[in-house]
Amino acid sequence: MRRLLTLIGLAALAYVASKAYLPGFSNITGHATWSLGFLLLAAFTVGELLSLIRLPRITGYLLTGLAFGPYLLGFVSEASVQSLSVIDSLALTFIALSAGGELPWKDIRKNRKIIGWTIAGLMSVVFLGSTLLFLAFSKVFAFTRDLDMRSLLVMAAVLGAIATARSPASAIAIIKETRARGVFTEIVLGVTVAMDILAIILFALVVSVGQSVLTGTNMDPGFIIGLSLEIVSSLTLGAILGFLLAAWLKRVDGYHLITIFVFAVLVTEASHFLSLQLESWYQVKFHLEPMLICIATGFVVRNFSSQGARFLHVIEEGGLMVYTLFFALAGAALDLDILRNTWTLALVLVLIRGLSVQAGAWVGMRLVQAPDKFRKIFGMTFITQAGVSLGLAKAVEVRFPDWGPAVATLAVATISINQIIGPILFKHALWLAGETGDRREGG
Amino acid sequence: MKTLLALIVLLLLALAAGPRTHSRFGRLSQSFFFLGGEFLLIGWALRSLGILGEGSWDALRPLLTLGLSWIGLLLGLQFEFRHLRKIPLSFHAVGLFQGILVLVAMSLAFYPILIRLFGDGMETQAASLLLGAAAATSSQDILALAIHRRRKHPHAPVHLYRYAAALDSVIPVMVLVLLFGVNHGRSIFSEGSPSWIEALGWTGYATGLGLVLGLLFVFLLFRLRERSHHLLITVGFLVFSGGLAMALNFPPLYVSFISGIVLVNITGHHNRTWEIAVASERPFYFILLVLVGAGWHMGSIWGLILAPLFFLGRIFAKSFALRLSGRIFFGKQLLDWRSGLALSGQGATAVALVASVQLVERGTLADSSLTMILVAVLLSGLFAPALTSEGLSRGVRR
Repeated sequence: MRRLLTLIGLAALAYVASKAYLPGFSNITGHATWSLGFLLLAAFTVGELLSLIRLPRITGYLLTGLAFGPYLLGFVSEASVQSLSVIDSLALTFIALSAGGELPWKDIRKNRKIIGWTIAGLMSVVFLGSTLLFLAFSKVFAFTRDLDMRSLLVMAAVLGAIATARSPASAIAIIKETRARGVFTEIVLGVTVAMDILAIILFALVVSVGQSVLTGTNMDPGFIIGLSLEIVSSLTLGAILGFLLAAWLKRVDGYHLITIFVFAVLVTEASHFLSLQLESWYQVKFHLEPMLICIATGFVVRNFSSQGARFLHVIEEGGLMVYTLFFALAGAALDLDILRNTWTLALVLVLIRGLSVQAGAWVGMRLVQAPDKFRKIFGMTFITQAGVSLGLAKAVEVRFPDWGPAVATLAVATISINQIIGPILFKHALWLAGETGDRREGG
Repeated sequence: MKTLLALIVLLLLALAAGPRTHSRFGRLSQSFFFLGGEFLLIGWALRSLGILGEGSWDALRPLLTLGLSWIGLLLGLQFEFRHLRKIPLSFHAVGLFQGILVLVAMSLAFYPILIRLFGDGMETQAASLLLGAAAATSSQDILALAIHRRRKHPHAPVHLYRYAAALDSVIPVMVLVLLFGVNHGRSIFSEGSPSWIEALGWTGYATGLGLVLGLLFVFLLFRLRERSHHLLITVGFLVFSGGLAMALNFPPLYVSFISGIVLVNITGHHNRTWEIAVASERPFYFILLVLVGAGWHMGSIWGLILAPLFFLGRIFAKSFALRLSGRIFFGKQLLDWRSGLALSGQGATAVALVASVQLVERGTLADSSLTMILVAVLLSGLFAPALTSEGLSRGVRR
């Protein structure tokens, strides 16, 4: 009741502020500023409320952004959401650091066989399954009915590649929230982080092959070499930075959270700056991926330095704020107009992906003869999609100007639905596995 | 890109500043750096170099708001009525009266000078009031530093000084909200006939908002156990209240000050918010200093010329005001003439006052007035620790 009253109070103040466009120098900044604070406070409150009915907090954060964002109640304007996008990219690198830090090398080594086979099963079945099922349904969709077979095949493969991506951020947020621990959790996390990297590689491959198929030109082998080099360089740089960050954390007494934030900003900006400069000076397209760098950094600090425990503590302290804001902003940025226009098609795609994920997880678990209980619930943990998937969807728009925008719109709608239902399924799966904090404590 | 570069520089500076303050600060030469005076100059240099230009400064305004709310909250948290009741009434009276005396004396002294240089009008009245308000406040940091250094000051009424330095910070906050109210926060230096009645009404609205937000803050903090939850709610609240105040044309400093008072009087002094606010105070303050420095426009050359006069005048006014207040409220010549030097420092509240004006105001008179205050703050960082020590050594007359 108290939380509900607090939310009503917050919403009332936000409503007044959203209607007050008083003349003054500070008004525009004021709106972006209160929107930021409001999203943090309201999302946290809604998350707490939802946790009372055993729903994941991040669903609450997303729903808060969605409800108060520009497409529903409109308390937080589109301009405010756009001006807060800087925070979005900062949050992503922070989450990547956290993802790396959440991967204990000892456990990965112990479960390497099961993780490896699961990834193999999931990647192949989700990609092939989504591609083939989309092809099978292609005559049902109006926008694919008149396409030639080549374009249809490339489109299906692109959607199949996007379907393999999922969201480490939401996985970590829910694992933290539920205090989940155990073999199932370790496997899920290891697979999730690795699959995000592999999804980017697969997508790049599909796009490259697809473009050469559509244009009738030969595929450039340099592209694959370049991509591999980018990934290896990013991971190596991340590892080196990991040792440096650990040394810094050891040396500086206090202010660790601000150190991590500075690191996240520096990595994001320095990699973008380097890519831009290389392209403008030497006409070389070489892109260091900040998220990969940060995953490697987090992994090294956690596993190969004496600062692992301190690092995790700091990440934990600032993590809540970052996740709350990140998911609330993601909710606010969800374009409901797109969803309104494409929800039937999107639902079909959600179903196709869901079936492929379930089948892929089952195959992966079967290959390593995992316990029966895991086999049934594993697929539920891979439904959520967020940052990377959205990024890939946007890339389709640029790479395939003919039909890319339509596919991107559809993909965004699909991701939006997965974003809402995924965390609920994930939390339930962890509970069924008996690895959530309350289950372990006998609750 | 430039905004992010500026943000990186700001964060690095805050990071560098944080651990440095753990070091010992025994020598006078370190006072300036301990108080962060150089960050004002760094901010100014960053703007001159084009790293923190006008566009980036505008984009980083939410950080400025957060810093202002942070200072306002910290100020408000010092006013727990249960604790205040234990302090003798004469201390309240001296603390407030000396501040008001300095406000009046400095405003009246600078009003004719400003008229002569910039002409008469509403904006000149506002500028002289602003200067008076900045002069009225004393730095709690410099006082604490001097007390820490001397350790033994058997005859000095340290509690009185401490209390006076806390209480006189209220004066600029009150003046600020009244000045905002004159033109409903659109501008505080505009020409036209000021309506002080309307300003009082505006202050009432701002107080109401602060009260409502304070209650909301209490509700939000209720039954929170984890530190990360407290951190989220505190940061979220400060951003929300600061932004809301800005959007409604109220000064963020005042609104969060009121919220701080509400919070401390409902939840008590020993709460985690206080802990978090104090622990993160220095990096936020240094970021605020850099931003204020970056937004610093010199205005007229008169600002620079009059600054030392303002600095010296303020010290005289403080000495006179403290002695007179002591005489009135203690009934005898309890305090030495030089006791007032204990309140000679100027710091966070004066900077916050400047930042609040920077958010809404630009113009030759406004910039010149802010220049006077900022130069006085820099001079204070250099000389006030020694002057404060001198004030502490004077003791009480028997």
